[in-house]
Amino acid sequence: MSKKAPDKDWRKDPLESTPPVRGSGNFLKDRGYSDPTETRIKFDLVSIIRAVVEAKSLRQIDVVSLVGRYAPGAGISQPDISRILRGNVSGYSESRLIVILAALGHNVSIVVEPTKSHGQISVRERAAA
Amino acid sequence: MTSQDSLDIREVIFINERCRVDYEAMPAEVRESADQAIDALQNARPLPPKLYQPLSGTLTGINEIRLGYDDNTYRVYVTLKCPWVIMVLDAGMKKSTEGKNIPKWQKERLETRHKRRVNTARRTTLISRPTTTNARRGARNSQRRTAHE
Repeated sequence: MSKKAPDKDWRKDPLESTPPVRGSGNFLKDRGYSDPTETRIKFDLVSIIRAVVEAKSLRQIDVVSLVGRYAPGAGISQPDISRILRGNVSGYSESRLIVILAALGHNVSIVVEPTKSHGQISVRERAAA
Repeated sequence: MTSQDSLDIREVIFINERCRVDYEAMPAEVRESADQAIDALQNARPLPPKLYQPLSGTLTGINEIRLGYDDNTYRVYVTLKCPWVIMVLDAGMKKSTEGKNIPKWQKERLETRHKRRVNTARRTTLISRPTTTNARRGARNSQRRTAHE
């Protein structure tokens, strides 16, 4: 454990002159997520949900009522929406996030297509026609 | 993008060990929010202005990720000057007593670290030309986004 110099004495901090810290190339894996792929999918879904909420100028309570109408059993409350919009998705499955997106008026499809090498799992957003 | 063994479009680099330690020291929920924001930047997804703002003046070129948690505000400072890299320059709780302003010492530290990033890029091959397809795609996406802004 390193000893930290007081903030204003940051120049005396031995860790200040250390070289840049590079990752493995997979940020979420480096950050210690047990399933980086799943986490990235959830993070991508959050980005889209947030963009939709902003674009439609919805309040969190509006999102709750839309989800409640679309999927009455989803059990999404206002604190849940608050957490999700902040990017705290550890307690939420992809399917719950997908339900929110659908309730916000988006079609969500899972597209499976063959590829020559190993496949990639990704979230792609398509603009409205 | 992604699968278990794929590489990120933009590589995330912490400017030094202090910065990484400070990032790790933030509360778990704040770290998760910051991870989400950085992941969005890596994949050229939009972030709302209240979460992500460019700085001005002597700190031009640095962007601030603002994260509210438990009546406190945490901030992560990044620079996207290199199209294939997200350089994290600073992270931690906002400590200014002057409203929205960044404390003088922190501003100096940010400026120093930002200059160091530029020098690092010039002197070494650390931030070199992207060699993988994903990295080149990241560079193109970034250029497109910069043009869009």
